[in-house]
Amino acid sequence: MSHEQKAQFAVVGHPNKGKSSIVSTLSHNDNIGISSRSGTTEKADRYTVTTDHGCYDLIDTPGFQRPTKVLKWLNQQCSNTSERAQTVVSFVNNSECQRNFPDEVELLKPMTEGAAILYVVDGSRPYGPEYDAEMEILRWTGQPSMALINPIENSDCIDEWENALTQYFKSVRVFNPLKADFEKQIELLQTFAHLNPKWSNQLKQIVKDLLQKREQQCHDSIIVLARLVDDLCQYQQCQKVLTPDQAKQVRPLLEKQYKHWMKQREEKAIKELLANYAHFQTQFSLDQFDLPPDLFDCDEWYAWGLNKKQLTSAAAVAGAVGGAAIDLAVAGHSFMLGAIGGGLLGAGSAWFGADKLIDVKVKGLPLGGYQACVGPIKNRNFPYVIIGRFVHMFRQISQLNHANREALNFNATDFQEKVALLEKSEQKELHRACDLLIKQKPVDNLADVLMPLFRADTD
Amino acid sequence: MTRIQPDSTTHISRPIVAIGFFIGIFLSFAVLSGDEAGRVNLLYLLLIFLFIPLISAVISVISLIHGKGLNFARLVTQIPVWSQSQKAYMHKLRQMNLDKSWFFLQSQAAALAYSAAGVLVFLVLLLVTDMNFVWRSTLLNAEQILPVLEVISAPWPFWPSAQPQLELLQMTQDSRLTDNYQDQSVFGDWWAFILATQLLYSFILRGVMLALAKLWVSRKTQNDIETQLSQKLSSVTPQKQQHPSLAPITHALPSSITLNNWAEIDNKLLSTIGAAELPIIKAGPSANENEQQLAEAFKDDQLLVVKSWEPPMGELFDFMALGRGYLIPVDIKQGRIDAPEKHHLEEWQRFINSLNQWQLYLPQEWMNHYES
Repeated sequence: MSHEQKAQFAVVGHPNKGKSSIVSTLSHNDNIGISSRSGTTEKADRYTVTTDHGCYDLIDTPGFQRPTKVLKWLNQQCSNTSERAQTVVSFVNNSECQRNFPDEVELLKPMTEGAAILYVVDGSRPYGPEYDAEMEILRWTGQPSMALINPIENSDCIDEWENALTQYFKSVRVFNPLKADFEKQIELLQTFAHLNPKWSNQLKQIVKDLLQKREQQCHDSIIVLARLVDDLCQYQQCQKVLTPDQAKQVRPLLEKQYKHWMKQREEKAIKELLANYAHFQTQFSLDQFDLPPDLFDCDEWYAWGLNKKQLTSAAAVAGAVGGAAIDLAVAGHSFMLGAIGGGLLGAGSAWFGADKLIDVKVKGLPLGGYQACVGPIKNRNFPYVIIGRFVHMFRQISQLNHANREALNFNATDFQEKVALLEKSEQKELHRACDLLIKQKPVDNLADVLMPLFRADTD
Repeated sequence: MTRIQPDSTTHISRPIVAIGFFIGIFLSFAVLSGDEAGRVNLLYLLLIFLFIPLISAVISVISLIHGKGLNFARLVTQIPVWSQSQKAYMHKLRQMNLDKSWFFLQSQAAALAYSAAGVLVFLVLLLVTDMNFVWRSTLLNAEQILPVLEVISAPWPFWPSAQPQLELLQMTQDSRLTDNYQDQSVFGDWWAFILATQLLYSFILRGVMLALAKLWVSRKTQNDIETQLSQKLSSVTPQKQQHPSLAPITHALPSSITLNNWAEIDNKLLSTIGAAELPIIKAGPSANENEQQLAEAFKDDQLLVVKSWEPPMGELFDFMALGRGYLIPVDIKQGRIDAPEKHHLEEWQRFINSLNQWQLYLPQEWMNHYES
């Protein structure tokens, strides 16, 4: 596809007004250099946003450096309004201009090749006459254009800017690349379609593709969680020893190794979640979590998993499902005692075993010696804790913009409320799956069971 | 932590191949050895080298495509002979929905080893012993068996000696009650047909299935979300933070200095920094050509007032390269001049650092702004 046919947008403006941030957010690419230093973009960089059925280019350009002088040069070269666009082409191709105005040549070149203009200003600071020259130069290119007001620090000067920009641009939008959620990004992309009617169909297709990709990303996140919770509920750290006394001695070491593995596994899942949403530069540390500070801190679990009451009823549901199977097997001759008994047993064990954490088992080996094993965790709340934390991280990461380079900060969650809002049948499925997980039994449809917990974040 | 490398899922398990190979050696030798007279029942050979390989191939394909029922893979993983790491590997395969495919792949390798062993034993026995192929049946005669053999041999019409003949069939029909063999040489003539059957229905078929299984498992592994994410993560290089040099800040101005209000700040506001009374030159975006030229020709110290939030641009740099003096970046908050934000100030410090004739000036009292 040639540059002429492919939709392409040159993001231009004053230095340090968020051009690279806009490109980064819209292209979902956090490898684009963003700096508080001005002039970090020295060359026009073309980023192709590719979807299943189309692509478009976003061009990150250097900021204007000498707009007054450039406008003066253009005025000197052109006496006829109809020749303005051609004069800009002459400017770009002029070797002297390339030497004296390298930034302007770089930023105007994509427009001479057919790119539409996205002009970026800072909506938190007032409009000034120093912007007039650059807006006038952009008008000379004759390319379709749109202005984006980026409220970098606040929204104080948006009205003032709107008044100034509407004199030069047909379309003016407020867009904060650090905060704009996915829906806002899509909305902006849809408005791009109006800039050049030739690009309308391809941009519509790209929007459709992006929405589908978003759904796929959610689905993939659920698979990452399903594997995480499965691994953590299964894991066991074992060591062969000669005597039961030795087994006692190695216990602290085994526990340490066990916890280390579990934390590393959770960290891996978070990295995968970040990669799933194309965040590769985002820094995070599990120690930064507000709640719980430690995966193994039982007291904090109720904040992330289910509360004691919810947990007891979950265990009762899971127990009753198991008991009901017995009732079914004896064709109801047990007078439903299986379901009732299973429910009571489950509820009781959940209530009294709620604080139970890691089991350490020592067993004799057939060929002599012993094996000390730590894990798996038997606490019924454990899978809920893992799920709760992950769902919370998912919510943060799926909404994180690629221009936002701050380290992740996870806050407390409302997982219990989320579980309570599920349909009864979905709750039942979740409790049954968690019950199987804690018993180290495979759950074939785990991803489907977890799906409703992600629904609210994607709807 | 068990991580499955994309290429590891297509590795063939040596113990599994060895088991297939030894079963092949054992079974082939047992059948091909025949009785004490070296007589081998042709129909038994068809059972070992044709029907068993074909039926097992069909069963393994059904087991693979069938959802939950026939899942040999999961049954095998339940056998308590696996080590901790093997169990973890199989657990990972199950998570990736690769367990059945992986076992399918391994079973093709085992079957190929079984076939290779069969061919090997057959060739060795042909070389070192006299093999007499006979067939016996109570219900069937040569005319009834021939069409079946012709169907079996249909894929190799280019090998005439490996085609079944009615005459040969009739001549090699055996009965345990008679022991009258007029022409012993014909009993060995079936070897080419047997070898072709072995090669095609056992060896080549499993070879093709193994190659397809390998391709399929490899593709499934590559398409798995965990593999894709791991590959993406390993290809990323973290960005390095840059720490540019910053110019020092001075809090004193020379007694004789001229104001250059590049920022177009209202003169009344400038009184708060003691600049309202200074002599003035004018340069910048709103200066006319004459004013700009005069300012560019000015060679004494000047106090250049700029908007702190607007980053330094090339036009300012070009102007400053011609003169000397002090630059003061100012912020305006609620209609009053204020100290610049720290990140804005750093930007100006970096800028001034590249201009030897200039210093960054801030009133001493503004420094409290950064301490708090």
